[in-house]
Formats: sequence, C-alpha cells, structure tokens
Amino acid sequence: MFFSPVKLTVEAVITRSDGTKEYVSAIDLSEKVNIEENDFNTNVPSQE
Amino acid sequence: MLGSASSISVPQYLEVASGTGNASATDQTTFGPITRLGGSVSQATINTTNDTFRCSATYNADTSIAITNIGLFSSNSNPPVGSIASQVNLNSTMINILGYNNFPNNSWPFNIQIGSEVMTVISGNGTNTWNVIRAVNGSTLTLNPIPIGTEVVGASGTSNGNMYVKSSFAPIYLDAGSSVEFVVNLQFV
Repeated sequence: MFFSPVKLTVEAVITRSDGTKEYVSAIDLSEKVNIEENDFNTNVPSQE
Repeated sequence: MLGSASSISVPQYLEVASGTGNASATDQTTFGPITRLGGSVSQATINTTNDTFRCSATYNADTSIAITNIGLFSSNSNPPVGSIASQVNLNSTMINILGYNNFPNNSWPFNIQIGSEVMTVISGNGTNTWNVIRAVNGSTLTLNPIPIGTEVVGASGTSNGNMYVKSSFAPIYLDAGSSVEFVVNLQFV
C-alpha cells in the first residue's frame, strides 16, 4: 500500500579533495518511491 | 513519525552504487552497489510542519569512482553479489552463477536482480545452478542474451532487505579524497 502522494527530491554536495564544494540540487529521481503504509508511522506516539 | 523506539524499521541506510541503468519502480536493489551508509534521519518542513522525511549520508571516496544511483533501505547489510557464469537467453529459466555461495544457500525462494530484470530463484542444487522465474515484480523481461560476467545482485529475501527509494542520475565523478553528501527528501503532500 502506498502512501499518497509523495514528492522525492535529492540533493548532493560534493567536497573535492582540494576542499572546494559543488552543489547538485534537485537531482531528477522520482522514478521509484516504494513506501508502504507502516514504514513511517512506526514511532508515532499512541493517540489514545 | 520518527520518535521513540519501534519494531518497524525506518529506511535510513543509503546505498551508493556505480552501475548503469535507469531506476524503475520495479527495482528491488541498486545497480552496482558499492556500500551502504548509515544515514542521519530527521523531519523537515517544506510546506507543512514536519511534512518531510529526510535522510542524509556522506560517502568518502578512496579511489576514483562515478556514483550513478542510490537507494534507501531499512537494513544496513550489503546485498549479496555474484555474476552470470553462462549466457542467459531469452527463454532460459536456468542460470549459472559465480559467487552463488554469497546468496541464501538452499533456502528458497529469494529474488535477484540482473540489470533491470528481477527474478525469483525457486530452486537450485546447492551449487551454481539456479532455477528462476523471470521478470517478476512487474519488471521487464530482458530480451537480449545476458552475457557472461553480468552482475547479479541479491534482492528481496536476501541480506539486501527491502529498498524503499531509488534514484538514478547523471554520474557524479569523485576522485580519491573527495566525498559526496546525499540528502534525500521525501515529502508527504
């Protein structure tokens, strides 16, 4: 069962060996999101 | 969402990988897995308070490498990996594999992924010959012969565990001594 709907974004920060940084934002990668109902509600405190 | 202890796993292990292929919803593992990293998990706000699950992890390169895809898993164990020992043709349901002893031994079924095709290993003889069901989990049957040496990665039912998010992208080239931090945001909207 899928949660509905989800939006996936990924960012990458590259740190070169000389210390310079490169930012790669919003990599296009929404090909797969396979989240099931219980994956993210594990730790929700009881609502009793 | 991410509070106290629970028996249900959170997808908090980020696997970096260097194989080729386009991620698909039918995939169960990454292309060319390198290693699995313990991620830092948090809640974030994009539109509504705490609407986003965030996992970040940093990979430190000790040699030149191109990262082409990542996956998020709930298990920190690396998947078993082997390779095709004899060409697999279109209608073949028997495969020979090198590194078979990296996989569950005489414990069926379990899934493997070769390229983008997921197969279920249903039996074997305890050596390097497996009987498989092709193109499971909605994956597409590989039409061209699968050549010797093609990587075989353990999927569901192996130490791979379950993959929840996967992404492929233009290669990120790293040289030795460099690193890359991936930040995965999964926003519930």
